Amino acid sequence: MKKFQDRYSPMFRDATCGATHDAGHCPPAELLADLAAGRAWPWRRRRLVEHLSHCSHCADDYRVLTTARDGLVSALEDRCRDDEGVRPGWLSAGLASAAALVVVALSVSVLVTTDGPSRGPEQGVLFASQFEPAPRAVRSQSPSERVFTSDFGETEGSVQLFRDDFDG
Amino acid sequence: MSSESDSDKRAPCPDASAGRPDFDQLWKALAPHVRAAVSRHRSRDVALAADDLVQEVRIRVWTVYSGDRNSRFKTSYYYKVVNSAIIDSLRSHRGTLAHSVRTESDGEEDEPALIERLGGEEQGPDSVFDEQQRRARLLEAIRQLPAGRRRAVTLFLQGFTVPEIADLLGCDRNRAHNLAYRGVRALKQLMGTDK
Repeated sequence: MKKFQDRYSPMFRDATCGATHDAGHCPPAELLADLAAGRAWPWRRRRLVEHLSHCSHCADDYRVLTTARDGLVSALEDRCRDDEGVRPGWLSAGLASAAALVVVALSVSVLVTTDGPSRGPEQGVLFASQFEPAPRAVRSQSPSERVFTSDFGETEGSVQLFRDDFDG
Repeated sequence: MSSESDSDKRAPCPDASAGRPDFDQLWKALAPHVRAAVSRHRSRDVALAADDLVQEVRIRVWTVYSGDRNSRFKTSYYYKVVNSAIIDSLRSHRGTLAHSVRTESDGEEDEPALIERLGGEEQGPDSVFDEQQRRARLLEAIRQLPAGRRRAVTLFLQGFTVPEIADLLGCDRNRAHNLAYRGVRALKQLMGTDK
């Protein structure tokens, strides 16, 4: 396979040298850079690969980019870390104090709006429990107020559902 | 492009006061990789030497860097700038082979040696005709291959290795190797040469 490549690669590259380059069909450098960085969309990657297989100029360009890829990325990332290292220390402390101030201001504004904890109905706040009696209050109603009285033998104090009062 | 003019451009560097590493520091990190990349490009028709290409890339990066006063541009942007600068430099100096040969021969090779070397490379009409026939057979055989194998084989003939082909096709190395191997075998059969 290597022998085949050595023998026919120059021939094929000569045949594809400048076949599309002069016609202006070669992709721009940015797209090749994206492909080398692995950031090309799949459909674009297919088109670029198809082009690389038929344009020896762009194949060479792509090879150059892949040669530089790892070194450039690590060098630029080191530079990025250096940038973070030279950021002034007072900046982070200032950001933290500003965030604390915002939190305190929000808390104060919430307290002012709700006027603190509620102190009872005299402040004009009414609760639903004042209008709806509790279940025990229902049970303590007098027998005359009951609509139905049960005769299933429940003990006193339990809920009675029916009362037979049809003279039978 | 002289180094004096470049240093003149770098003289009013406002970046030290902004608290970030200056351009020299950045370029010191980038330059070896740029140089390695353009040195790999051994195409004969690129007229300029590697130093000139590196210098052009440096000016392009400097232009972007001087406009980046607040470190707004991220690593990926600089990566793209460097790559675009490399490719644009290579493309802009393509197709000036005569200048390239003259420049190389001026410094290193005397005239009789150059004449002898050029004379030795000359091919007769028979060999030219054979070469053209083989090339036509090769291209015709490539056209008859299935799409997957054709793509792998053409990348292989462009000089890419199997891992590079796998990277380009987005598949694993075994599949890339199989596609290239079977494609080459089919090519040999179609061309009538099983060597």
